[in-house]
Amino acid sequence: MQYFFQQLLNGITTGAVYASLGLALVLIYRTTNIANFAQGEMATFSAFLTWQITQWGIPIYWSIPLVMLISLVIGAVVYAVIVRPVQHKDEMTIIIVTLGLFLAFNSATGAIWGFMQKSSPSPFASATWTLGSIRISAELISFVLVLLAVSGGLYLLFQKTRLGMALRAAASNAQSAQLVGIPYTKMMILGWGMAAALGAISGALVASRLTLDPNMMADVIIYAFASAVVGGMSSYVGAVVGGMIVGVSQAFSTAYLPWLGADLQIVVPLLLIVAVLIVKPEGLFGKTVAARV
Amino acid sequence: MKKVLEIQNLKAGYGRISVLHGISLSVKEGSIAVLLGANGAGKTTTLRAISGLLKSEGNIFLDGNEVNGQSADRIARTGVAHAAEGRGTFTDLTVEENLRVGAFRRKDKAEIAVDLEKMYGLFPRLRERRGQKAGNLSGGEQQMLAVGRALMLRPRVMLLDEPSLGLAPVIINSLFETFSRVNQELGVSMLIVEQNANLALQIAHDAYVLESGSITLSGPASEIASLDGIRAAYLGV
Repeated sequence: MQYFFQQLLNGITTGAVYASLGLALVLIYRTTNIANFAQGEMATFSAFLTWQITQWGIPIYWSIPLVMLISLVIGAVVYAVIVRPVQHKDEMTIIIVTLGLFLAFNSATGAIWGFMQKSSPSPFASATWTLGSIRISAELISFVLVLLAVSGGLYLLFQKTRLGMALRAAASNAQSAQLVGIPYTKMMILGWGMAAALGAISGALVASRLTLDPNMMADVIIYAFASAVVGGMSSYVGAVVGGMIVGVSQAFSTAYLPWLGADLQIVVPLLLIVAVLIVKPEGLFGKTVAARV
Repeated sequence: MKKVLEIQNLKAGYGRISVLHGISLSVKEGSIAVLLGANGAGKTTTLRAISGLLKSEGNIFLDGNEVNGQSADRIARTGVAHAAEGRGTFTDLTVEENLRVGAFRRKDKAEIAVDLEKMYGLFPRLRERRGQKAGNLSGGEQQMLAVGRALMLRPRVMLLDEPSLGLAPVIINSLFETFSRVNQELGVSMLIVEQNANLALQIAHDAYVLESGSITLSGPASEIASLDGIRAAYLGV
C-alpha cells in the first residue's frame, strides 16, 4: 500500500509537468484553433534563457518571471509574424508551420547553447519529509502549488476580468468579437504570448527535475498533447485532469509492469488514452460538437 | 435633421465581382431606415461595408466623421452595432456574458448594470436563461440575444441584418414591436435590412430600395409602401 501511494505521488509530480504544458496547448488551441507542436521547444528555449540569466548572476526567483515576460514577447512575435499569415490556410499548412517552428526553436537552442547537457539551478527546495512511511518531497509540493497557482490564475483571468471575457469572446466568434469592438488580432497575439509564458513555467519545472538539454521536451510534449486530448483539447480543467491521468498511469506502469521494459513503458499511458477516446471521443471534458443543419 | 449615418457613393464587392455600384443613403438621428431589395441585391454587403467587415470605396460618415478604412473593431467602438445575419452569438459564453461583452467599448460599470436589467425587461426569456450557454438557445432566443447584445453597446446606430430570418411569425411581430419601442424610448437610430418588407415599412421612417447594387428608389416609408411597384414586388399584394 505504501508503495502504491509513493507511486501515486510520483505520478502526480510528473503529471503536473504535463498539465502545465497541456494548459499552454489548450490556451493556443482555444484562442487560435491551432495545435502548436512547437510549444515544447519554445519552453526549452525559455528554460535555457533562464539558465543563461542565472549564469549572469541574477537569482533564479527573478530569472523565471523575467523569462516569462520575454517568452510572452517571443510568443506574441511568433504569432504575429509567422503564424498569423497562414492561420486561415488549410490545416496541413498550419501543421507544417508549427513543425517548422519546432525545428527552428530546437536548432536555435542548440546553436546558441550547444547540445551538451547543463545542470540548471532549481527554484525548489530539495527537502523531503516522511509521513508515516511515505516520502513527500518538496518538489512534489512545489509542482502541485505551481500548477494550482497557474490554473487558479487562468481561471480568474478568463472568468473574472474584462480582458478574459474579451479573449473568450474572440476565441468563440471572431467576427462577432470585432463587431462588439474587441481588437481580435491583439487578442490572438496575447493568447500566443500567454501560452509561451506558461510554457516557460513548464520548462522551468522540467529543467529542475532533469538536466538542461535541447531535446528535454521531446517526450514531455507528446504526453502534454496526450493530456490535453484526453481532457477534450479545449478544456483547461481537462488538461489538468488529463495530465494527472497520464502522469499517474505512467508511474504505475513503471512500478507494476516492469517486465514491459523501459522502451515499452511509454505505450501504457497512450493505450489508456486510446481507451478513453474510444469510450468518449470528445475527451473527458470536451464538448460534443453538434452542427445545426 | 441631423444624420447619424451617411454613406456616399459606396462601392464594394468580393474579389473581382462588384456588388455595390456607388450607393448613397443616410439614417437620420433617432429614426429607422429600412433597406429593401431582392436576394443578391447587395443589402448584406452594404451593412458589412458600413461596419468595416468588408473593404469598400466611397465615404461613410458617422456623426459627420469619416470612418471608412477603419478596422471593424474600431468602428464598433465608435458606436456602430451590427447584428449580423446568422446571429453570430458567442455560443461558448453564457447569455449574460454575451450581453456584457456587448458593452465592451463602455467603461461605465453602473450604467452597464442598468442596461443589463433593461435588456432583461425587453426580453424576459433571456433573464430566464441568463446562466445558460448561448449555444443552447433556440433561434428566436438567439435573435433576441443578438439584438440585446447590439443594444448593450449603446450604439449611435444599429445595423440589423434580416432580423426576422427563420423566426415564427408571432416572434417576428414582437421583435419588430421591440425595435419600435427601443427606437422611441432609447432614441437608437437603426438601419434594417429585411425581406419581410411589410413589417419593416410599418416601423420605418425612411425606405431605400436596392436593385442589383444601385439604389433605385428612396423616400418616406409610408410613401414607398403605397407605390404599386413596391406593393407588387416586396409586399406580395
